[in-house]
Amino acid sequence: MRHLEGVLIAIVYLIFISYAYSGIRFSFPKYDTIEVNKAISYYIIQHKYLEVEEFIQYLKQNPSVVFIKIDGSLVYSTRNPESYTTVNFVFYNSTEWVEVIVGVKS
Amino acid sequence: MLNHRGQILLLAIAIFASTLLFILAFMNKSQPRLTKYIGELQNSMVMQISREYVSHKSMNKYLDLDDLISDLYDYNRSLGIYLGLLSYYYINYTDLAVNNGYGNYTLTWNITYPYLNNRVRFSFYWNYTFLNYYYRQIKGIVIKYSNYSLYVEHTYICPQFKVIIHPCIYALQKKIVDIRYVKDGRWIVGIPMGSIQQFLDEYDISFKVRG
Repeated sequence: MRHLEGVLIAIVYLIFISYAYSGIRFSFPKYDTIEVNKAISYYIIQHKYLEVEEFIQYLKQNPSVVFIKIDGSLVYSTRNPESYTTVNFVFYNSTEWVEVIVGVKS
Repeated sequence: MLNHRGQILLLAIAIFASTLLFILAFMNKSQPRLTKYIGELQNSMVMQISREYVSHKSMNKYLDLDDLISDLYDYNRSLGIYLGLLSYYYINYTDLAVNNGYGNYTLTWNITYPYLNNRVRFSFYWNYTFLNYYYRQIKGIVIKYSNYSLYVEHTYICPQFKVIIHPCIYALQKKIVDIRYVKDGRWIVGIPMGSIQQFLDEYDISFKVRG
């Protein structure tokens, strides 16, 4: 009987730890998201205009990018975008703003 | 104090509840979540409008920076770009002497977040130094030219990075001005002596060199 109690207590502890871990894990942005953030940031600095095709090719190099939406239109998507977070930004294209949403695998 | 049976029952309930939560978590479809990461991206957006503003200013065109800021705040609400409270100041100076000259357009921002302040700066800088004279024949007329070493750079500074870009430049009067790229933002430009020539970089920022 004492052994059974010990096993049960261990299971409860494991469950508690896994909850705590998943809580911590989802409280911070993932490394991939930060990398995509940096990549987009560098693109913005280097370009006066957002050129859609070039931007897609540039971001596709990062395998964690699962989709790209520009002004609400889906311009790039992987086959199975499962769970993802989004990196949102706007680009001032000389006279007008362009809304961009980039999905990053999570 | 619970007896042994009571303790086991308590543990069983805890395990059952946890299992139930796990199953529910698996059944729940993943929803897109917005990443609350404040860093390079917000700063770059601000730097980009700084560059546009400087471009307009340098060509004596009007661009209302407060309007752009207002747009950004709107996108903050509609798109969730996580931008803090913006304040800025702009300075520029130019000194176009004959032997050497320099100029600078700088826009500095303070982005205030609840627990952090980001100082962001965009700066366009150029200088030139006289090298020598030479002569060039245009439509049968011999003209005395001043040769200069010209340096041009963009600087983007924020807490996360410092990026220096050496942009491509061209002269507005392409047929008159001689221009050649050396390296690392340095150019050799030849302009008719006594004239002031206007240049543009690839981001449409205008600057002048006096010959």
